[in-house]
Amino acid sequence: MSGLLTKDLSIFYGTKRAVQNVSLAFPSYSVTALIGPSGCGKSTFLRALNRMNDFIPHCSITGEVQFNGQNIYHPQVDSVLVRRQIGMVFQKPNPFPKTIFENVAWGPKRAGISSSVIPRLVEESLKAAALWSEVSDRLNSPALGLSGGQQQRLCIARAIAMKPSVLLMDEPCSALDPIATARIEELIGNLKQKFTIVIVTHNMQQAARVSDTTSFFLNGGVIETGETKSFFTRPEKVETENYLTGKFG
Amino acid sequence: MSSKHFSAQFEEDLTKLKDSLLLMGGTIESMLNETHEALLRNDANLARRVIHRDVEVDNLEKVVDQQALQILALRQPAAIDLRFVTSAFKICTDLERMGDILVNICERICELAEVEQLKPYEILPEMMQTVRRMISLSLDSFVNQSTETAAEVLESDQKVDQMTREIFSELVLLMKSHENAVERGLKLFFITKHLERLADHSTNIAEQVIFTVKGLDIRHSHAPGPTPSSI
Amino acid sequence: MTLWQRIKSEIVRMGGLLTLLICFGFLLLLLVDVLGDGLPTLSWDFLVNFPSRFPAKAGIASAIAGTLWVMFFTAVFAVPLGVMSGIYLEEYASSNWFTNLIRVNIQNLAGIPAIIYGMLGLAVFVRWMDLGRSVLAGALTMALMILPTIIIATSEAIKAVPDSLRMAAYGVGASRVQVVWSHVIPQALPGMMTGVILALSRAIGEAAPLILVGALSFVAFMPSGPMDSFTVLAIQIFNWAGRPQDEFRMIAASGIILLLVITLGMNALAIYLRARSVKLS
Repeated sequence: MSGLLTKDLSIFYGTKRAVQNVSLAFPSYSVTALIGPSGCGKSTFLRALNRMNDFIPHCSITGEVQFNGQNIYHPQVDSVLVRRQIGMVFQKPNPFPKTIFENVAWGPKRAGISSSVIPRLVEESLKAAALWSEVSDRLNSPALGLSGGQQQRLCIARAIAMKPSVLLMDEPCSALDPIATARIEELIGNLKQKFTIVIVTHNMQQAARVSDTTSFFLNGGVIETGETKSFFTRPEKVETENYLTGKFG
Repeated sequence: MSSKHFSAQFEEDLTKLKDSLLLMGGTIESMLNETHEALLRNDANLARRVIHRDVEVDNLEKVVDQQALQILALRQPAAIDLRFVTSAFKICTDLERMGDILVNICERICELAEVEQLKPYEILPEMMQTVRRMISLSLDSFVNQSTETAAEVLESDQKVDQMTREIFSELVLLMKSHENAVERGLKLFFITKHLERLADHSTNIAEQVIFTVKGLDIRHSHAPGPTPSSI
Repeated sequence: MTLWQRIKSEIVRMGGLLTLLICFGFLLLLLVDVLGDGLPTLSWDFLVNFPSRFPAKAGIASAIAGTLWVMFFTAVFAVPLGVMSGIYLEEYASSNWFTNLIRVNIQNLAGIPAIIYGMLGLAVFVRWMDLGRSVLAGALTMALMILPTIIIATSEAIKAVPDSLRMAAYGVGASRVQVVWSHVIPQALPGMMTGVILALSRAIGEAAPLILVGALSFVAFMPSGPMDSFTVLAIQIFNWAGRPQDEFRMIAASGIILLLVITLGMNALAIYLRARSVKLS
């Protein structure tokens, strides 16, 4: 098991409960997909895993998110350090309005990595994100000049440059065309050798292609979790089967 | 399938499926060789060994079905990949039936060993040889995804039908002329029928290969087999 | 589209065009009038001479100097204070009734007439703080006046920075300070600069509050320190325009041209800087 798991996690927006009593463990060096219809709470749940919900006003939690045995919501825990260990890639590619090099280098620099190591770190990260061959000759050009798929891979490189243990991905391909999507799915398959990955996707075929474990969310709770191989051939719960066969939502 | 799939995982899954089918086919071929020998040498022990090997084929059928099902569920194959996977289901069924038929043949061989042989086999060994060749070709056509090789298999089926008819006539004559030849004659009759079924299954495999490669469903539509150039 | 709908849309279009032409028409009229009166007397002598009773010898040098002194100190006080307040309000302050009250009141303050600031300056800076009728008092008064505008411009510029940028930075484990200073502020800089320059260009043209604070109307020397008396362009122009002699009105027009040039120049700078920053990002 990776260090990441949740215990009876509930998430509230004000008084409204968006996620209820979810206890999930995320296996190391594998991909866990969270699927479910719109509004089922999967993105909210994902953001709680590295305290990104802290930025949403009136958002509170009960229960625990444990990373390496420690509850990351403990008052003495620095959320900045949490996010260096648990990185995030967002739905719409959001590179910094800086150069390609600066995008990848900024995080490590601010975290105190010495500048002699940075260029090699940037190269490693871009290679691991399958982007190096396309940008190695123009590292100082603006990141916003890249295509959508390239920008998203840059965001992935930026995230992995921090050498986190866990990579959270919130519908990373939904703003991309099929070919760019295929490249990122292939990339995820390679990345899981070094990282634990949790991916939220509304595309269940993508979850089938990409993940090792799948969890089905509905109305804020987890209906079923299982090994992807059997999840998509023989789910246990009726609600899961209805969702997979498109019988509702 | 010339160029590779983008997803290495998908490529691997397809290769594993192909390998499982080839393993199944190889087992069938090996069992058939041993059956041929057992028949010629009247060797009941060899026949019994073949019967025990059928369990391998049955297990492989389950493996192939499982692998193919997973590819359908997890990879959403399309076009030629989809045809390949659905063909895999059918081909493995044909191969499993072939295993069962070989078991039946070997059971008859065991029974024949108890009864005295009256005259040496004339046509039966040749038929065995032809069927062996057809099965080998059908598996080759699958390995190479070759419609030409598949067409050869379909052509040979005529010869097998012809030989079946000849053997039947011979057996009928024999049984009419010698009373104590009836028991043996009937068993040989069955063996011949089984061999004909084996040939039919190998033509099924060839038809599936044509379906995979060309997308053409030529089952039940060809009387005398199509020539290679007509595919 | 029916005929009637077409007619209606044409009427609206023509009406809009007409309004635009009328506005520009008046502006053009003013420009032509001022240029006509002021260009002949606009000369190098005019720029370097001190004012005098004799229009032929009068110049605007002290007013230019006074304007520069006042604007310098105004900027020194207003810009850091205003920008920092804007940053604090948008990035650090929590959202409760108190901060919302402050936000609303800043909007109000931006709309208060300039003369009120003049009275405030007189009471607080000139008298209570005993700064007298000095450049400093004038600058502080102007600073107070343009502070709300700068705060609002800064806030708007920061609000315009998309949240996705902040989230991206937080996502790689940045602290709030790093997010604000390395990402939000550089991104908001064009908007902030434009707001600052526009606020300053408003301040340059103000006369009433400075009159109250004690800017003189006849200054025949260059201010040499923040505590000196002073005058500014606007006041000098006002003074000349009020004299009966035609010649004074002409040099008033010259002063107006100078003021227009400076103001348009500052606006142009704001536009250029904004365009350049947008291009760089």
